[in-house]
Amino acid sequence: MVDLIIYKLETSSSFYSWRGAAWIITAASIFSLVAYLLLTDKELSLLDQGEMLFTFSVVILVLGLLMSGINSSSSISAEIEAGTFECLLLTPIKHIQIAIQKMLSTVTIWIVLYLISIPYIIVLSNGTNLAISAILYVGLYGTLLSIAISSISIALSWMLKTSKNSIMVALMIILLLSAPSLFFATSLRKTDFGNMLENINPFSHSINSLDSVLVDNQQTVYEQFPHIWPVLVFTIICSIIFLTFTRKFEVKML
Amino acid sequence: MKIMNKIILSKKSKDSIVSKKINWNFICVDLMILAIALSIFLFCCSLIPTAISQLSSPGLNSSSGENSLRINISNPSQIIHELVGKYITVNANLHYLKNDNTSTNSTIGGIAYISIVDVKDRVPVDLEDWSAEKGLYIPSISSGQSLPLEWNVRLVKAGSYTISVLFNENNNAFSTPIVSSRIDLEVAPKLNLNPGNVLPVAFGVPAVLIGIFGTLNYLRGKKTGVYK
Repeated sequence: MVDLIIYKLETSSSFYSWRGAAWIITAASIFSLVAYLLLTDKELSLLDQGEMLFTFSVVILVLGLLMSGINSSSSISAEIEAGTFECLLLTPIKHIQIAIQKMLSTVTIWIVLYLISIPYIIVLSNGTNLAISAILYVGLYGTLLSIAISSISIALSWMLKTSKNSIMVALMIILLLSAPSLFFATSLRKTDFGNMLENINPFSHSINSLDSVLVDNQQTVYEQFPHIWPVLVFTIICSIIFLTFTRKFEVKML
Repeated sequence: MKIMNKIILSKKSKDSIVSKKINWNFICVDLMILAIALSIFLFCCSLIPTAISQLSSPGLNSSSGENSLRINISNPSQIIHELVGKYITVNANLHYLKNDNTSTNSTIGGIAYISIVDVKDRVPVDLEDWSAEKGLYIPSISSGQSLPLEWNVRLVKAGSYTISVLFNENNNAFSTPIVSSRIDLEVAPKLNLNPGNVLPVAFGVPAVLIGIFGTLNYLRGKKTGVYK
């Protein structure tokens, strides 16, 4: 039985105090604001319910990615900067287990964020058959991307050893992933270059899949499999990078 | 007496010459009027074929004199009432009629497209959000053939609109587009959900979370001695 002491400590620091839980209240307030605007704003309320759900799902995914990236990119470097990492390495826990437990605590943050978003999804999908699909697909893509981003951010945190640098690089990676879907114009996305970026980008696959499920009503896993496997492959690649770099923490490098 | 007679004779002869002069002037005036009337008549006659060709132009009655093309839109006289956010299907038929001028093997290609006009704001609608396929490319249609056309239109904004279908021929760059008759469309506004449904969730979730974390914080503080 693996002792999950680091996981418990990390998780309790994220939920057990006012300061730790402030992010949850902020995230819920963001969801409330977006949902309220979508349903009551004069122009936004004219959107089709599928479009509303799609917009809200993108907000959940982006928020989840940002929180996973920022939280995990400072997980090792913050210990190094605080001088507590050596003490952590002296505990009878394997190095890889320390990294995995830190990654799991980040994924837990995503899961809490996701659970908070479920009531909003249900309200936004009221009167349609999209509620269960929206909940399941947002959960699937959010969890896979959260694992991937957490893994690569923890690896970065160990490699760069300073929180400032590792958070900046992690944010750049998230921006790079989300840029084609969120910031590129439709005309640019239809060019060969745009198509190529969308085909290799797991975040674009997630967004396109949610669009297909919620707007075009193509809800079966079979229809979405062309979008699911690239995200799965990305998560596996990030996990391999994570396992390679966090197998052994060298104290002499500190 | 003779002298008097001569004078009288000479006066008569002068009068006859004057009357002859007057007659010639009338004839000249008549001829001029006749010439003007004739030229006006001929001018009018020359205009009639042009007017007829203008009246039978495709822009006015949806059929081309040269090509005999015609677009029939489904339910032209019906007013469509629908809610914002819904989809409607616009059906039309492109006919290439056989006539004496067209050979049996003649074909025509072009682009058929829809046009939506906002009647209230008096502006054409940008179809960016309304229809994924604004134009349908028709490579060729043979004489005597009929081609069904279909557009799925999403009603984005409430208001009064007219929808028509147009066809631009490929080969003749200067040809007038062929236009179908119009459909009237009344799009009513729609509230997707009762805003009251979202208010309990929008305010309730953050409030419940504040309550949970406040209680947890208090219990933890009490256990550690922060709150006595």
